Amino acid sequence: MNVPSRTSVPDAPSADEDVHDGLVIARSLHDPEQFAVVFRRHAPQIQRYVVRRIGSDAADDVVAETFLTAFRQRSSYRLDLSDARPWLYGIATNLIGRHRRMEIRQYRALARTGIDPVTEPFTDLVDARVTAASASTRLAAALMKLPAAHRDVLLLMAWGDLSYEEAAAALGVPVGTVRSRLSRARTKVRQALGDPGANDARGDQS
Amino acid sequence: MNEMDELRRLREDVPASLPVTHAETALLTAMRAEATAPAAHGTRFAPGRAAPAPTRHRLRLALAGGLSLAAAAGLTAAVVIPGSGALPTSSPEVRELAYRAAAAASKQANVPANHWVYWQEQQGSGAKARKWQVWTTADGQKAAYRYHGKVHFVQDPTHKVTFLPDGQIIGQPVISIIGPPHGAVAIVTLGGKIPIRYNQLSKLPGEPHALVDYLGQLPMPGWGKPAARAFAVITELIQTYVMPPKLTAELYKALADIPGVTVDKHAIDLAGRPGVGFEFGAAHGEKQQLVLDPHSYRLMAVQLVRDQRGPDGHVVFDGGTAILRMALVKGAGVLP
Repeated sequence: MNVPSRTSVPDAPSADEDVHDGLVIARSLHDPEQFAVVFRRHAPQIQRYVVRRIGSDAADDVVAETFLTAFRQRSSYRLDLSDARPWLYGIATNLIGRHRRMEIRQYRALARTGIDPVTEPFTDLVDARVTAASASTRLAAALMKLPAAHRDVLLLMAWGDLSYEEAAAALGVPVGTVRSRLSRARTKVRQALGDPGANDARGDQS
Repeated sequence: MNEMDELRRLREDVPASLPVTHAETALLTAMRAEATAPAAHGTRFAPGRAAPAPTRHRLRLALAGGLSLAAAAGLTAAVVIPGSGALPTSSPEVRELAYRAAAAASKQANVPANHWVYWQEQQGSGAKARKWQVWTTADGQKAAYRYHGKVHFVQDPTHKVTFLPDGQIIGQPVISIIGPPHGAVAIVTLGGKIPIRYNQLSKLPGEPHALVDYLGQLPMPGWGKPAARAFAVITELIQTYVMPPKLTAELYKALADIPGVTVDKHAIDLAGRPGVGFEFGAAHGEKQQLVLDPHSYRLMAVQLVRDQRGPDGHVVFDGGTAILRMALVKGAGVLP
């Protein structure tokens, strides 16, 4: 039996790397292994996003489930969409919702101690953690208090680099809802960072 | 610097290229399974669903006329691997089943150590099948069973017996009722030396490779090579304790890291129910099976089956326990 490598992304079949995600997914409907191209393109970004939200321990399962879900639901993907990232981030964000308590607990730990349990495995220098602590603790405290839907929008845009439209597609809500949630979330974060003008909420994406 | 920039800096220490091995394996398996599946009857595992009840079990009843106590011990003890060559690495099918079982297990509710659990189980198969009602606490420290209409408590589950042939059974009590089905003699024997007690579970290594290494190195003379020991102990823990969901999930994941473990996608438990099973070769033309529900991935049975089917084409069972029902109850003797 052919055993896959434990350390490498699965071999992508001969799909043209320039072919956009929609066409790759279309091909995968007849040739399932074509879906490896989608995995290879986006798994690292999704993994990093999930790890930043809930830590590496739980992220493995969430990322695996994200791509399994995407693979099983690929027949419902709109094949004219060239970028599968919003779709994948949406699935991942839904799955992250199952770990909300853990996510909050980790923000709380960071807010209280200045040491981030999420980044600790990747950081050797205690000094570096402490240096970054002052802003991080305030951000963590703010994230902890945000409504989940607002936090999802904020972090999809900050950590997932999604646009308004992409975040709306990921979450299955109107763009106006995304703008509104982002605006409120940013206001809260600004307040936490000590901006006296934070009540003057802006909706710009920067 | 505005708040979005500050947010982007938060946790930027997380590397951009982390291993995605777990996801890779799961997806690769699913892709290949679909690619090779017959159109009408796919070989993919059914999608995982949250199981309504915990997935673990603990107590075995060994019957005269069914399993002897020694045979019950042999269910997990006789796992010496023939030959000394290297065993094959676990296949993608094993990893997928391990992943799905772990995912289902991790969704279960946490059961306090002293909470009572009711089990309806079947020993033996065919004409020799007997059903039992058993109650235990989640930590296995208290146990009871119904026999001839009366509930009997196991007084001292940690008492060591001295007359077991190999001197050691891991896990919680093994009860042997000796005598014909309606005989007058009922003897309860308790085994034995437990290498991992419930209160030690939290100290087990959390990473699957490390867990397998640790379990394989437990001092268990006569239990075969490290892979055999690891499979046996994991099987025993899963059927013995009602463990914290995360630990149960880790144990299922660890099965995929044991060389020589295979999957039977069309397993049949000794109650005749279809399932999916982890398998590990035992001695004497037999194999151990940990059979799971193909939809919920709840534990259905732990059994010892022959490598070769019988003349009628049916699976030949040499022992084991099928779990017919499990429920949390308020105490021993209480039915759900």
